[in-house]
Amino acid sequence: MHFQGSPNMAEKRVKLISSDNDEFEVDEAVAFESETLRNMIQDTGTNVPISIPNVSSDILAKVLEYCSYHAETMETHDDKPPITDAQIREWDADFVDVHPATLYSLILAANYLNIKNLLDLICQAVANNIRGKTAVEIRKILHIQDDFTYEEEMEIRRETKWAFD
Amino acid sequence: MVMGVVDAEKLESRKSLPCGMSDETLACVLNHIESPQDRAAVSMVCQQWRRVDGMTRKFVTIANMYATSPASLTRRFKGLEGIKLKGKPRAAEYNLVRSDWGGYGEPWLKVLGRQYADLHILQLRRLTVLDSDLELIASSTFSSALHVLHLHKCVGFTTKGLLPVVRACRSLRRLSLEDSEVEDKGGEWLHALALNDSTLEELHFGVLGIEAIDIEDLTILVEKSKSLVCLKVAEIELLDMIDVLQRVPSLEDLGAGSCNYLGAKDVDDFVSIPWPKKLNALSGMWSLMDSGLPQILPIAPNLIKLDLKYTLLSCEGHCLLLSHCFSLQELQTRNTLGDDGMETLSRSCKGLKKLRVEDDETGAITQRGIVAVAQGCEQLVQLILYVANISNAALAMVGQGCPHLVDVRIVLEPSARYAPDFPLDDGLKLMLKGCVNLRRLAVYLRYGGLTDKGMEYIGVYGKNLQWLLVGCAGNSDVGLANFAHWAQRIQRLEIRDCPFGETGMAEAVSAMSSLKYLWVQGSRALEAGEKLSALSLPCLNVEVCPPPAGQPGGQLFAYYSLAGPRKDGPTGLKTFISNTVKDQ
Repeated sequence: MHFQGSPNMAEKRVKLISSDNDEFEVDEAVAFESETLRNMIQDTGTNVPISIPNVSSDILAKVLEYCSYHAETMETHDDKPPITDAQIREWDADFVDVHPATLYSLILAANYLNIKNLLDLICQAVANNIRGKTAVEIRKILHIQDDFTYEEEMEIRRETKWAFD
Repeated sequence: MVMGVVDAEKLESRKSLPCGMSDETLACVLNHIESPQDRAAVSMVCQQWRRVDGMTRKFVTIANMYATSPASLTRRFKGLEGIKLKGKPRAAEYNLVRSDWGGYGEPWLKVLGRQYADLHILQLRRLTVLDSDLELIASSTFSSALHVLHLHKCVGFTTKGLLPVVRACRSLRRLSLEDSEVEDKGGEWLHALALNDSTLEELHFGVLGIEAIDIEDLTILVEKSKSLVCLKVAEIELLDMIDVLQRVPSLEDLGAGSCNYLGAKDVDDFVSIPWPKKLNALSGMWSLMDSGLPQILPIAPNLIKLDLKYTLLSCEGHCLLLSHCFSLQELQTRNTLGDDGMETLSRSCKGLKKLRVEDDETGAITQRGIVAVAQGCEQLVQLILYVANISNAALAMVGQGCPHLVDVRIVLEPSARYAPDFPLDDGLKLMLKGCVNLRRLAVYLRYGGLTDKGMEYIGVYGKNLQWLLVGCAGNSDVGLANFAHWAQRIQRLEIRDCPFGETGMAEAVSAMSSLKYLWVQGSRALEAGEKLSALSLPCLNVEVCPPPAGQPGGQLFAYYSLAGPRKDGPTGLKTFISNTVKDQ
């Protein structure tokens, strides 16, 4: 899979390998959106493919789509008007308009790859998904295991019901 | 929730992935979650979410200080920025509990002062707050961070106690003593406040008794406080406030002091009140007579909130003023308003959202007024009335005309001269059917006003009710049981002068799954001195307290608590917990 950065610059390309062994190739500028990748590339260069053992190919594709777009918004073109903040917001909103389970996987990926803007964007989107839901619904959406003992659960219910609003 | 559901959920979730968000990431998500309901859900997801909720929760309300302890609060919440703490039961607002009942701020303020250096908002309601407690606020770690100090319906402190607070809390934006009982020990606090680089947006000392005020201090203060939008005073003549008013162009909400001289011939010819241009809320105006109205009428069309309960306006005066108040959304007054005033509201104040008419002996509101308002004021969300008469048809009309109501309180004056259309069961049923959003309901009639049938209707049709006060209602425990069976969202229940027995009340408490507390006064069981063993449920503190001097009967206050029985009750308080009795 190839993600294009700007075609007019002779960019270095970086190879990334997902947890399910798919190979991705992107411009260095795109990879640099991730602090983690930036550090790795600075350490080992671009010759060796970088394996990302805990991000699957579908999620990595989404993340790189985000990074490509945002790398592109940083560039200036003489022939095109610059991308406005409103356009970016709209693109971002479309980007996070996905299934809650995908959002959750994206959080983990953004966290691991250390892409702060993406992390903020998804956290906001996850929060929007959680609002108005019960604890049971939240666990279902995000595949979270209920690790309370029965006694703890009862104690928590009581505290929520009687003590703190 | 039923046990089976919890277990099934646990089994299912064990199959799914463990939570892999770091605390930091989760905190980033939770920082976007603010509403208490959402926060409650979040805190029940899993251990990690509960912990991170505790680290990131900004605001907590403690609706009953005896339901928990300061230590539990600080153990769970690490960085609170706002706290609302409530003390005595609501009945304290009507002088129905003893002055030594409790609700002491000290143990809480000691802990809050140590733990929460970033506390911006401190709201205390129905607490006993002594000058030494105000000193605790002044010497707390949050004193310089505090933006809002709201002492609402509190008792026990003096103006001297305010001095260290205004000296230490230099970032105050809101200082409010709303409806508190404050002893006047000099006006130094206001002088000190005027010396601050004022960030004040609200200053509310519109309570009786604070007389030692140097108007010069107030003038300096308002001149410095460029963001002041709300100023409420009590013991200052409005005519002495002219300099002050000229210096606060930003003011939107004025609690005017006394209006003894407004309307006097030799005054009005020379003085006109320089109302700030943005003013849209007016209260106080102690002793305002009809003759003072010409000064107020020019701003009447701008008013959104109006509180006339301390004025001496006649029914005609009310009608004249209200017929100019086209923008009015909130009105408080006394029943001098009369049915004529209610009809004026219906014609002129189409956007009225809140109406509160307090008891007085100068007027009467009957079904005529209620029907008029119900037909004319479709936007009403709150309707609080002391009435001299009421009918089934009037209640039905409220249900038909005001579908947005969330809070209805109707009290039939004990001295009412009329023979009402009793029982009001059917009218109440129709009202409840129409007002589907109703959360708060008070119905205090006379014996025969509401039968067991009516009690059942409240349960069946008041599905969303969270707070209920009934007075002189029902015939027997059957009515209470039928109500309780349906009332699964009721959190607070107040029962006054109802013929319910001990067993009936105990069964009702067990049946209501959301109940937090029960307040009972004038009960047959209490007067008979029966044992309350039937009410011994886990975590339920049951207190029987002697009434204030001169009032008959005992009072029962039963509330769920994770902190065990309280130790600061008055002499004579009996606490029942799981078959044991403790005397104090």
